[in-house]
Amino acid sequence: MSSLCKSRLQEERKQWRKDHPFGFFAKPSKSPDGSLNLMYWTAGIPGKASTIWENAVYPITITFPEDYPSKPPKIKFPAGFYHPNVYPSGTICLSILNEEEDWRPAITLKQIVLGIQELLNNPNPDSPAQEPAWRAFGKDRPTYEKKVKEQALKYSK
Amino acid sequence: MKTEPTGNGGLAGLSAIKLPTSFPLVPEAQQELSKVNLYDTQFRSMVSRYTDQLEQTASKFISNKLEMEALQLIDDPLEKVRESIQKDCKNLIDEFTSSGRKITEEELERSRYQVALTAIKAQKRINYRESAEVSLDNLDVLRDQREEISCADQLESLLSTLEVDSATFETANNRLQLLQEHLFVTLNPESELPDAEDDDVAISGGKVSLICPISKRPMKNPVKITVCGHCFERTHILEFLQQSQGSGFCPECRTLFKKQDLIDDDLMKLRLEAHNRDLLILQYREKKSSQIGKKENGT
Ligand SMILES: [Zn+2]
Repeated sequence: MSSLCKSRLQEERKQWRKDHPFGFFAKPSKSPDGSLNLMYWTAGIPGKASTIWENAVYPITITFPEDYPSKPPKIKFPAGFYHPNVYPSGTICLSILNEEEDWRPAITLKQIVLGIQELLNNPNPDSPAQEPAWRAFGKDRPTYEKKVKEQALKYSK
Repeated sequence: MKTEPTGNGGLAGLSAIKLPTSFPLVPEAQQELSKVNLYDTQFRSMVSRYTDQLEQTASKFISNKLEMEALQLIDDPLEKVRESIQKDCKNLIDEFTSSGRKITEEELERSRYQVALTAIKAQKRINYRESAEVSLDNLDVLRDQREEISCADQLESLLSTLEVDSATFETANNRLQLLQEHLFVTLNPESELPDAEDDDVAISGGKVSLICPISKRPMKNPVKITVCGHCFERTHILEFLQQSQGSGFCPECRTLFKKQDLIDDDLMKLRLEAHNRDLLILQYREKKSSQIGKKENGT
């Protein structure tokens, strides 16, 4: 890990502990020897109140590359997560997480998780990442909402 | 009328200009020339206004400098600090004075020529028109007069090309503005400059961030991307650029830039110094007040 990557991640952790948005959590994982692994985090994204996503916290994993923050972190929901912009593997398709699109090293962890929360209830129909959720979102809204609510129950707080 | 305007533009050219020997030819022109002094006075009042402004800025700078060194005064021998302040301020004032003098001299010289030229040209035109009836007797006189007019025209056009050199004036103004900016940020390290209307550089709510957007830590050696104005810690933006094979996008706004587009950000550096100074003063005051608190509790 480059020193820049390490110091930036330490800073992100410090800032997160000092202040983070309500209902979210994010923490670096522990290595088998008990030390912190700053390159791999687990986090939780609360669904916004008064949406079909509410009353649940959706788990994500965040993997930082060696050349972070030049390159964006890779963020995944559990495999099979139901959302038009989430690949079957769970990888999130979001422009601010794409180096070729809108990723900027200045983007903070806080901005990323807030961006993902926003994406939950505002899918981007122009970048489908999975067949079922994308098709239902476009053509069969009742089924889509039913599926999302079932998923919310699964991850309910 | 053999005299040709000499000099080929530029400041050196200005001092090389010599009025043709036939200038001034007529008493009316001489009279006009005597009015140049009147013009001088007007010009002088303008220069003195400008000088006043310089002086004010300098004195503000001095008091600010004193404030900056106040902390040092606590521990360092007074003589040493005073010496350094005096040296800094003297250099500054010397610089102001000499540039102000230079501007005055150049502008005065130019205005003198211009008034003389206008007067002489006007006079020549009148003479030429009045004696427009060509005869064998006045043929030579007329030719002379016509040549004088064209000579005056040439000189005037040369002077107008020299106007470009009022860039000197502009440079001095820019430096004054720069100094004012420097003064402002030393007093308000985290505030946006007052006139920066079209400047959206790292500003949120009128505040300027002193944090490097890449490392999210306070900057020490700030460099600026000239194309977009965003500012980063030198080593971090260079590392970023290296990872992007020499040509990258701004980590803040994704504007494309190259290594050559990076320059030291002196203003940001000054902000950082002033910010650190404020932190030190704050720490010192806290220490002081907690000492006082302890004393009060003790009694
Ligand atoms: Zn930029």
